Amino acid sequence: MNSLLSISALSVRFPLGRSSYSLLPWQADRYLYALSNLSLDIDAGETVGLIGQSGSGKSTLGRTIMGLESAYSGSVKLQGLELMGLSEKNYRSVRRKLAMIFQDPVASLSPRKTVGQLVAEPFCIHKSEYKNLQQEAVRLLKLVGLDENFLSAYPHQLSGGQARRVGIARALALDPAIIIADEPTAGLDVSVQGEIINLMNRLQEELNIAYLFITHNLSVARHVCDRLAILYAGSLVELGPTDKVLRAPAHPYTELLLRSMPHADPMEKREDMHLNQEEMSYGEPHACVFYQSCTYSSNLCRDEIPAYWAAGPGHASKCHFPLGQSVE
Amino acid sequence: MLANNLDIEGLSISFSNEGEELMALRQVSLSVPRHSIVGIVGESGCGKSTLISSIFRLPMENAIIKCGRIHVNGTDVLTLDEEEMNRLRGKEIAMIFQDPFTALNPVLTIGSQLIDIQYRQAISRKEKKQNVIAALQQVGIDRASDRFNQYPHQFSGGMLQRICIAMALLVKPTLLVADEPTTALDATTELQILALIREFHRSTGASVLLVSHHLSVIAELCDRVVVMYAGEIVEEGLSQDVFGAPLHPYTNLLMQCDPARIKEKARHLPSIPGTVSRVVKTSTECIFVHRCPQAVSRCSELVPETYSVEGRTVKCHLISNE
Amino acid sequence: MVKPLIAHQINARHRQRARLADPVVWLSIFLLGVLALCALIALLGLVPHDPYELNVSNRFQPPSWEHWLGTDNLGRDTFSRIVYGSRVALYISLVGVGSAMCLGLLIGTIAGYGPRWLDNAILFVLDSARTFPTILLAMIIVTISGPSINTIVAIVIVSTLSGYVRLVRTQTLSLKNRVFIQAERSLGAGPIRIVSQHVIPNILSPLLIIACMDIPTVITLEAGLSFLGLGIRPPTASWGTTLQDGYAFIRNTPWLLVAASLPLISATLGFTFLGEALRDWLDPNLVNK
Repeated sequence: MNSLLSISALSVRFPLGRSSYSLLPWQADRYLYALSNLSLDIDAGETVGLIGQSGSGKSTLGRTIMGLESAYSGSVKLQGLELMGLSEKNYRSVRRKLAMIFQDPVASLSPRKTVGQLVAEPFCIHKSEYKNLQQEAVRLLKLVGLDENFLSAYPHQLSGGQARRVGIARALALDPAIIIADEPTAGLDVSVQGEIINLMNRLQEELNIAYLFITHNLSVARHVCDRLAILYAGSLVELGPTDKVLRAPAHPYTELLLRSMPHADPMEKREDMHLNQEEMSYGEPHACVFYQSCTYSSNLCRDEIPAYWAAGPGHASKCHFPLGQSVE
Repeated sequence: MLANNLDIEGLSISFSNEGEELMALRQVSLSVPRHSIVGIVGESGCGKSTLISSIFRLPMENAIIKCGRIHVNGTDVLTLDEEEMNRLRGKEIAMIFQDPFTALNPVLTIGSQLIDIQYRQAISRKEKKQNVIAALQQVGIDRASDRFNQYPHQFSGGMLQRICIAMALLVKPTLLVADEPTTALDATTELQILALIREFHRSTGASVLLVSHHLSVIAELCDRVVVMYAGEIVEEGLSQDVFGAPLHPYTNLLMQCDPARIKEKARHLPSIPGTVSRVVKTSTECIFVHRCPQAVSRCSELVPETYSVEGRTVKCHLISNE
Repeated sequence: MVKPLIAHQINARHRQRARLADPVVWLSIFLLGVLALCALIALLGLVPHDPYELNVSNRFQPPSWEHWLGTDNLGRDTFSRIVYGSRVALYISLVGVGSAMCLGLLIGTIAGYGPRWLDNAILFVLDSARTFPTILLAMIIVTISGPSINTIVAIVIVSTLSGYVRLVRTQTLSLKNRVFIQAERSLGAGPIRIVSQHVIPNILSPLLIIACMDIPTVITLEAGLSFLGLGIRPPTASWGTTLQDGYAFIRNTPWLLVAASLPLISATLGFTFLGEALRDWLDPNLVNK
């Protein structure tokens, strides 16, 4: 139990407001479970990919770890320190070790600040001992491959890739142990995407940072991540080493995701899929989250939440009828 | 002329910015033949939004159309007055936007928006409603008559994009322009939306101009593909030709960068170093010369011509050597 | 075949960053400069006539070399009175609107960024205050503290404050959910830092524009209050009192009214143009690339 970040049985729910038909006071409030009973450990220096479609709760997990969202139950420990239940004030000091990169590269930069001010800001916030902010800002910019000419630029003057680099520089400022990267390549051109990925990899090697790489893009994740965590409707349905998960998916949803991945040969067409329409589920889940869309589902899936099934070393799947079970 | 739904000839558009003239599009010519799907591939700054805006003649700040013609079904778009243009927009051309959340009015039910869009047709409201429900069912929305009275925020992104396609079905355009229709969507939803667009094309016979920076989306759907870079068409041809053996160095690099195309897991991903150069009027070099690994001295001295090679066109000096 | 088409402009709306070459900026600088000069002249007492000197035999004079803008019902020099009145006008508009703006910024950001209950409480108090008619409110304040220039400033603050608070609060609420505010929080920035460094700079420009456009209203408010005897007492020169005299004696001479509206019009234009120039100047998206 020496992981850097250890999440156990984490649930996050949002009140939905009473439905218009139930204004009666004794009727319970309805909640949307954005995350239910999620456990995940991240070690120092590794990259865990958190894969899921929009609405699966992947961004909520990142935001909860950062303390931007409060958990309903469960725990998140950073180097043994329990984060859930910390006051906003105490959380602020934790954020030196945690950093987050937000999805929209330009919108996550305060529009009226210059790049120099933005990059030096973490030092000002934490009243850091660094005396020469200008020098520190230049050092950070160099680290992410920008020169000092950018110091006086405003966010709207930057391209997506440059703004992303500034975001990474800000995240690096206080030497975090882990960076939560929410769709770091979304909105970037394909030709720039590689640069950002390579930059993140290089920084990981130099500074031994762990990444929680949140994305819906499996094609990118498979190159970057050591392990993949597949999220569906707030539940972690599969977790395992990237190669294993991609080569032998144990959960039907993972299999579906793999089928929707673009082929290496662009002329090869992906087969059409018919997925049942996504229905929002309310309340605490009592069934397998995927049973409505699953081609293999049975009555058991509708009645009981499946337990994790070990598909191999470090590879688990939350399914009653995991794929490849008969093979082993 | 009428063999094509869309003909663009030698279109050049510039933007005046602080007294400087920047060329957003330079001598762009492309056509969308009847009953075909044409894709435009390009990254940010390639001029695809300017191109779409000029087809629909949407307002663009400080833009000047220098020269060129845009014909939609034989009608010269640039000479129409505003009223004729409105008629063309609602009838012959329709558009699907990148962000389905902002494409629909949030305070009106989807039903009323879909009825509104048929205002040109002289049929009763009841018939219009039937049309709407039929269209919603066609794009795969369950319980269409229930969902008729729901508001956009009650739908997911994929569902809203379906509704936008239903909207296009009701307009029955001869040309549908889809601007990054799946960029905001998940991979599984993407496939379904692409299938719907293909089905739309098949059932109505309309042509589709699909704009995307995503190579696999274009490859999957389009008969022909146009590769744009910094306001110019650098390569154009049949999808299988262009993707099978790209001739322009930019197309080639772009394909190498696509992470989906890299078969083995790699820590280091390729990229195209440098940024898109701003094109001023008096440029005497190839637009891609600063990022091109195969550039020769001629590339920085002379703007390359557009060469035709076996039914495709390439704008590169390297082709002329062969 | 490609034939060049006549340059066809699509909605060429030129919105550039306001520059000093812009006539609007010059006009506003000129008009406000004249206003400031008037106030300075009045402070130094450099007017051609004593504004309080009565000369009843000389009343209702049209403009002449002696009296540039004529004389009023008591034979006082209108030009000198208007120059003196600019002090009052500037004081009320700058101090009144300035303090209302600062208070609005403070209360509005607290309401927008603070807890929900505080927001509701602040809005409740402000809305109740707003249901009071301005004149009634003015009478209450005058009864408490007596008519004076500071009473007018207080009335200006009370009557404009709720508008500023509402504006600031709405802007704060929408900024609060923007990604960059979340990004600042994730770096560990506290509420005071976020509000002062990231919220206020983004609210300041709309607020300044609204404030500039409020100033003319405030100057006319002073005129109205003075007419009702709730503001500046008669002998003191103010634009309001001169304007009221102009209305009262319009049968005797039209000049008094014309002369009194001149500074009001130029101040209104000056501050409105300033507001427009500020809007363009403060827009970060118009900063040169």
